[in-house]
Amino acid sequence: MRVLIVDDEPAARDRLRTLLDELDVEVAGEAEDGVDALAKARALQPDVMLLDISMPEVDGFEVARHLPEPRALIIFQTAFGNHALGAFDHEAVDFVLKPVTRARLQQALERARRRLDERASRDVSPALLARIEAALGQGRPARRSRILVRQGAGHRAVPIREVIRFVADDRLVYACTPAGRSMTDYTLNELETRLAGGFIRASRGDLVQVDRIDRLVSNGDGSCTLTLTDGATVHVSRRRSADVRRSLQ
Amino acid sequence: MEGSAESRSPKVTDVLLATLRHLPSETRRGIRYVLIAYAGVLLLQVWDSRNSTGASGVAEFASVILGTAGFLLLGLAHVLRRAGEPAARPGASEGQHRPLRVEADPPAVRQILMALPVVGTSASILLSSAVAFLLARVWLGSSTAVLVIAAVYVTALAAAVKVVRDATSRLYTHAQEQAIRAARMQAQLTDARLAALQAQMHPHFLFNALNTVASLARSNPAAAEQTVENLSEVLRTTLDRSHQLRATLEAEIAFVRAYLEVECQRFGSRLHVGYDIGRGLNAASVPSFSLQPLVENALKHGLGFRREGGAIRISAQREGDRLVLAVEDDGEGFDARYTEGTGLGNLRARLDGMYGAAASLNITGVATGSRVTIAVPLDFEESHDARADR
Repeated sequence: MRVLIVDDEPAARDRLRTLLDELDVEVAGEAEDGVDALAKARALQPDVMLLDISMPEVDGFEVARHLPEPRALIIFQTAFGNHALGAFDHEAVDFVLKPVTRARLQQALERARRRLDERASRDVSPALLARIEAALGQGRPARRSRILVRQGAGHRAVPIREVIRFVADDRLVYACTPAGRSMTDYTLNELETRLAGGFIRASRGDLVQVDRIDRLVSNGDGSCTLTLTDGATVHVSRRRSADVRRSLQ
Repeated sequence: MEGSAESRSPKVTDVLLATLRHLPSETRRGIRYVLIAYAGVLLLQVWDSRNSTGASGVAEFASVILGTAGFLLLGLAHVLRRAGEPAARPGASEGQHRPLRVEADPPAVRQILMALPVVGTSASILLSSAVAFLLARVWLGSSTAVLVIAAVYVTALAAAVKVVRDATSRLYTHAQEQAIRAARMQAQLTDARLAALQAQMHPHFLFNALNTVASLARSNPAAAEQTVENLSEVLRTTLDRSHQLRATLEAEIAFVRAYLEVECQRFGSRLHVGYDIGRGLNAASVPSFSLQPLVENALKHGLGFRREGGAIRISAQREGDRLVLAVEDDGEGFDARYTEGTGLGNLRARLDGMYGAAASLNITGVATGSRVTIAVPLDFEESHDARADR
């Protein structure tokens, strides 16, 4: 069983490495942030990932959401857990609280070993992650500054403020930035909930950053047309028109 | 705390002079008429005293002297009443009343309010003595002029009594307001303390710090020791400053330094902190726990969102008679949808409660990152060193 350590604090990574050495578990490698974790997961193909939840730019939830195949089993590390975590005891993920005790780490690793031997499901659905996030964040959605987009075989983090709009095109969702468009692994509905406030659903296939709307032209029949800062135009149906106008006020 | 506030407040006489200088024109005209009328009364009395001799002359003279003194005091009472009126807040619509230019701050207002009943009572005693002497004069030898004069004095006496009554009721209201305000401030401080407790001992902060200690214990025992020391400094300060509304800048900086040391240990080379503290400001008084929410906010923006980490710059400078504290980060800058966290919101409410319009909290985006500034009136803790500093 090979373990990938993901934590943004150097000292914390050192400690986990020491603990894993003492428990005679092979350390596949270390990653210091979300994007690094995804790259290492692809390159090193670890069986288990000791994944810190709170990291800059791309957090543990995002990493879990974008794990490459074959998926590693996830053991989340968090500094602050509550009883709500008990609800996920039988799911495909495990939790250890920081500072991690040796006994708890051993227990989590044994559980992971059992799951690996049983070839149990390693699938972590976005819905499960959303439930965990809600339980940990006491209902408040986390504010994120970046979003992961595909780049080659891997992912890269794009600042959300650079995104002009998200477009759904034949079941795939693309993030459009001044630099071009990149594929994401999200659905438009997911993004709409996640980015509520800054983005507005202008049509069935367009989620537009409000600050990137250049012009709004009424079409006379109640519908309107938006011109975005990159010159693209989006037709807004009569039904969505009112919401769009309100968001621009 | 209060004593230091008084040392920089304008003197009551300054407030009075300024009030006199800025009296509305209709009031000035009114004063002029009253003076002319009184001069008329005086002339009448002087004319009348020619007919009186002996005891009635003495009574006439005494009533003139007492009446004049009473009138003067009554005038003073009226000016005081004007000066004691709450200074208009900028921007508040005042209708027909032009807002007074005088910035009578709380200690001066309190002094004025306390002086008013005394002045008013003295005026009424003098005026009633004047009336008594006039009555003696009437008894010694009546004259119609005396009756007119007596009527004028009685009117003035009624005015003086009204001043006293108004002043007492205002003093009562003022005291009541002060008591309520003090109670609210205490409540706010308790909230701030709780918020600070929750922030510093925010489970995340605390457990992360403990995690750092656990991580360093073997690899770098000296650093682990240092972190434990800093963590205890943070916890101790939070617990110790339980009822303190203010702290010296030095203490506040020491607290933030310990807090940031813990975070620096966690983030390693990702976090850079710089301090820029103006000279001679160590003893300046600042609201307790006012820097920490700013720093926490900067950490969140400057560091929380960026892999490569960031720098935080903490500065305290004197700008005229204000102390400006600023925390700047080079993070993602500001989001148009930025909403103030509970830490900053609570701080804003506290500043408003402690200083009113004299303090401010501003959030601005700078070229890279953001800058949060608070400005409070410059004030020093009562100590000899601080005095010498000035």
